[in-house]
Amino acid sequence: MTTNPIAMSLSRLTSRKSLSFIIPSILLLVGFVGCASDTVVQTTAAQHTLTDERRALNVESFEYVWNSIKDKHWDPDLNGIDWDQAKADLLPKVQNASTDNEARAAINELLGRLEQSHFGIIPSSAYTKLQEESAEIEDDTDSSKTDSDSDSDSDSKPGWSGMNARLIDNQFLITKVVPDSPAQHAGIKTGWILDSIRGRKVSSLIELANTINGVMRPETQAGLIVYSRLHGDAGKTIKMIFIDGDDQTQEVDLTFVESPGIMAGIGELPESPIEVEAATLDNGIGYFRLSMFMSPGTVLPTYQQFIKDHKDAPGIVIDMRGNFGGIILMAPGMINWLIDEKGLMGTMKMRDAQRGPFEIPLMLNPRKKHYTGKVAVLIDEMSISNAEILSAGLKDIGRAKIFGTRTAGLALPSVVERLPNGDGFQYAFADYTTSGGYSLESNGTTPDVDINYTRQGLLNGHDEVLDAATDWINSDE
Amino acid sequence: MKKSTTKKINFTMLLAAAMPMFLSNSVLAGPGQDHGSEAVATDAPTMDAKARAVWDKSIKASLSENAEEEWVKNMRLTGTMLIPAQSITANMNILIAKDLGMHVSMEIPGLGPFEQGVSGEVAWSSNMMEGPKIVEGDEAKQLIKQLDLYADLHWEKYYQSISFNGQETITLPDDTEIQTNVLELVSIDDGTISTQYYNADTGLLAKAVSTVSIPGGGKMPSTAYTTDYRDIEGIMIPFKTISSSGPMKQIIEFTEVLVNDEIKDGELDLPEEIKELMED
Repeated sequence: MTTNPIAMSLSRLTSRKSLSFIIPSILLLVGFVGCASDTVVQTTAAQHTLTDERRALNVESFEYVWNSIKDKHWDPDLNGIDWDQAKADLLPKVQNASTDNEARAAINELLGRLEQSHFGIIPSSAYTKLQEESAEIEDDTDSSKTDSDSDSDSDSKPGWSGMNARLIDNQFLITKVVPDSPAQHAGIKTGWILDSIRGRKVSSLIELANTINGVMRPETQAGLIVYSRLHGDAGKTIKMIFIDGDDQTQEVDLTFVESPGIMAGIGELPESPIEVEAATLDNGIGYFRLSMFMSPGTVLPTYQQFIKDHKDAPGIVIDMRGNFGGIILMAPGMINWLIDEKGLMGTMKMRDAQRGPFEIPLMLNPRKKHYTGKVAVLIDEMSISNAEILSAGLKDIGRAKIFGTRTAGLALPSVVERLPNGDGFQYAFADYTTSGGYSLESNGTTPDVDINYTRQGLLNGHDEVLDAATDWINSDE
Repeated sequence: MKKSTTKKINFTMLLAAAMPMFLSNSVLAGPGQDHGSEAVATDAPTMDAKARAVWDKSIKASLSENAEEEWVKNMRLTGTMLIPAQSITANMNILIAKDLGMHVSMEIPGLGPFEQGVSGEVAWSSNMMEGPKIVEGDEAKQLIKQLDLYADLHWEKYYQSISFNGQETITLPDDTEIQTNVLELVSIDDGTISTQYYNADTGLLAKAVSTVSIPGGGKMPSTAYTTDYRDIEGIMIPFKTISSSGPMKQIIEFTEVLVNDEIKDGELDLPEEIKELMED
């Protein structure tokens, strides 16, 4: 059994037909964002003439989609679209479609009229593709078991490699190797290029991510796929091939060890390891990193202690790179320690079936003894959901300077349902805007200082994004 | 034929809204909480004859024969709050004491304790994420009004008008249909309209569609079904309330309700962290 959230969600796809795939369990506390939506995987679905039964299922699916948007979209005006006219235009196309692809195209055209992301049809074949991907991961895990000395079984704990990888210039570079981790023990260095993992060329995973071409940016999509392959059950051994700093091929067998993070879950969300890191950098600068907004009972006291410990520091760095989101209230909870007056962090906009649209403001409420020095926030394309909300919130109120690359733009709460014809139907049920009126949907948080890792910098042991942040803190700016 | 399935909507992020949703429904099935402060009505409150009949029947059914004596001084309720979409169940304890205060505490697995209360005229809240906070504005008014355990007897304080709006068959969450008398209530504060549906047979409140004040001055619609009424010392308490607000849904179920229980010293005092905030 794997408890890696991404792999788990992939395998859930096969086992329970629950369509919350790729990153659902991580994001569901902010609202989950599925992987493919307004554009679809190009498929080779059967092109033969549809049976009457199949045609009826497609029509039923169209009706379901049309009614769902009509009833549940947060904007009763549906972005100004004449929804009845849209039905009149497009339902005949579904009724007369000679193939599933034609019917699907018509439903996608219906959703496309909204001109918003997180609305789309996911072909049933896409699920097959993801099932295959999931199966590959399982196969890799099974095959690697024979290489392992450990008697890993269904009771095994989530394992961890102790390294991060990011897609930079179409290559996955190792951006972090944690001291005393399996990755370090295996001799892996930052700046190495990840060439293959678990028997699969990374280039093909990037290609897969580009092929899916959904609402998720390819670098985020690919990052999540690689992330899932860098995690597995503790005790399992996987094979990886790297290109090292001398451009030589390095084959590495790496055995996952139990994740050092706090195990946290909530509700139906299975427990996952949460990494929290609080440290002091040169010149007394504080550094706080969080991998997910979970376990507030543990994380927030750690954060509060971090703030107290660095109350006289010239600045602090909050590292949101690779943070997958989580409990939304933890974001204002963290910001509250950095501000001196009440304010608005953002607004959730929804619609009630009986009362119409309504908004839920997310308020900021300053803590006593809050931190008053400089605040830098680090972001990247793997900063997702609540990590985007936190960084955008701090940016909007002018409380932090943001360093890194644009975040994933996956902050809209959305769901995926299965249609009668077997396709997936993703739709957002709420909108989120920052206090400055900026929609994070698709856009993400844009950094004030656009900076990314470079291979040479990583090979030299530098985190250039963090360096830029600390340079700013140490400057008179 | 295969139907659409698998709805996984996730709303734990809105747990802050949970208590307001709950508190929109008076424990004693009193008025909803449609309140703002922008406008103050000047005409005397009115209730038409048909509405009065429905209202009186409700009071008689729910507040006992001797309601006018206002003999209930406090209520202590123990139960759970369920968020079905997340399969999260929180233990919940509530103490409401007339003229003294109120204390609501919930322990939510994975999120920790959520507390909210009123002590005298001060409304407050505290949780792991937001920290201690003095609640202000309409949200505070909403909490303070909970101290009026016999709000139905004092409807003139809360409503500019209450009018009969016909009969309607409604479908309860368990899919049973009942005939109801529908009342339209206009808030005395800001003219906000709420609608209450009273079971035509029993006289008990079955459904309320209202608006709830939330942090930041926001308003949130709420639809609540009050069910599973049980007789507690002559008053009828809805042991189960199913509330929804947009896509959010929560279920409150009480397991024990005590009336006029002993209140321990300091039980409704302001927490120290709130006192500290007031000193600033």
